Amino acid sequence: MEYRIDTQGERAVIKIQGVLTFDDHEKFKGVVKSITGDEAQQIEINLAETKMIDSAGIGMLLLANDKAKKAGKTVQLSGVNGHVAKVVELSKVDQLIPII
Amino acid sequence: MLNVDESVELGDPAPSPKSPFARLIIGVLTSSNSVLNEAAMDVEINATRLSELFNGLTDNADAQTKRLSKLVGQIASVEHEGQEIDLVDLPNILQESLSEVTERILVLSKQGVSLIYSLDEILEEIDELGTCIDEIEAINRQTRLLSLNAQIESGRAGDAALGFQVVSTEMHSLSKRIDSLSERMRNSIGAVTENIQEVIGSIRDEYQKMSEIGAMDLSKQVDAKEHIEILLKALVSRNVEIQNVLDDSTSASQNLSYEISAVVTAMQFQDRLNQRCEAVVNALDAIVIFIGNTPNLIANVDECETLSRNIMDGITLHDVKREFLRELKGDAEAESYEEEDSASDIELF
Repeated sequence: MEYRIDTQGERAVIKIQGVLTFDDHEKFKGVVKSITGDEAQQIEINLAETKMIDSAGIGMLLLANDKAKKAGKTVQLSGVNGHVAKVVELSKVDQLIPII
Repeated sequence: MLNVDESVELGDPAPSPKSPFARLIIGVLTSSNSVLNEAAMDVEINATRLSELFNGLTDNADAQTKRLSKLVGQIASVEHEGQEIDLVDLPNILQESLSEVTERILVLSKQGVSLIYSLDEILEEIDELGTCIDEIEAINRQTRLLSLNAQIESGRAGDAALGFQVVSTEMHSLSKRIDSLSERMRNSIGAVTENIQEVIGSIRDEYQKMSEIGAMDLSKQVDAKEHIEILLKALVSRNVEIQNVLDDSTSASQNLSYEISAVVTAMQFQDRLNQRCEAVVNALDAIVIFIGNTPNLIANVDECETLSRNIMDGITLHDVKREFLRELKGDAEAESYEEEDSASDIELF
């Protein structure tokens, strides 16, 4: 997986490209760090170009959400489509992290 | 009915077709013939119709039975481990189980990733510790050099530096103790690092194994969810089918009622038959009685007229009356009778 961060004032958009699976957990540390370290209070994780996500991937998103909440920030998911949408619907992640 | 044995005198000149009595008899016989023919046809038609109606009834009843059997066979419940489960509930039960399992997978996933991150952080701290020990050892080496120097200097200085010698010897043994301490620390860190890396290694292996068997990617669960949704749709459409069958059944029942009414109506032909036969029998009886009682009056035009009227008055069926009128009186009177058409005639009950 690759990711790009785009911060504009209070809002940061983190775009995840490729797949988000267990093997990406090292790289994902960077995402978590920027969530906690960034000035932005509102974090949007864009999954439009995320082709596939496994249960570890969902776990990572939930972890990121936990850390953000501890830092007083909000996380939202966007661009949910295809396989990712099916997994999100199945796992009811949308009840924990809002989807826009 | 004319009794063949009785010899009846029909009057002095044998009745010619032109005599009123002869005309009466011919008229009555012709009408009777035609009425009886009609009666026979009526019976045949209605018997056939009745047959058809009864067959139809039987077919309908059969069809109803088949429908109900089909319905019973589709009744919406399933037995499982001694409990009856409503089929409509089944998809929801399955969905709940599926969600529960999925939630647990996710909790474990989150914890697994969290654990690995924590272990990574610990390893970093341990690295930091290692660096500190390096520094301690470096300081220790310096200290030992200093103490060696001190011992050499104090040896040169002779007796005056005896106290100093003691201090430098102590420093030397202290630095030795620090050496063995830092070695212990290093061993300890080494052991901890090894343990942690083993744990990380086995978590990684587990995830690897799980990925290989596809246990991580949730696609089976996604499929299961889709299968459940298909099941639910199938159940809904089957309920619609059942509803349609019920509707068909209701209208079939109504048709049965109509058909039974039709049978009852058709059976009224039997009453018409009665009235027709009565008319013929009465007419012929009237003539026999007339001939029997008053054979001398058969040439009397007025008496024939009266007999004719009496015969007419005894006829209850409109059609039969018209038929007799036509044969006895002619088309004109038959037509005007037709127009009068009294509603008080006894027709069908």
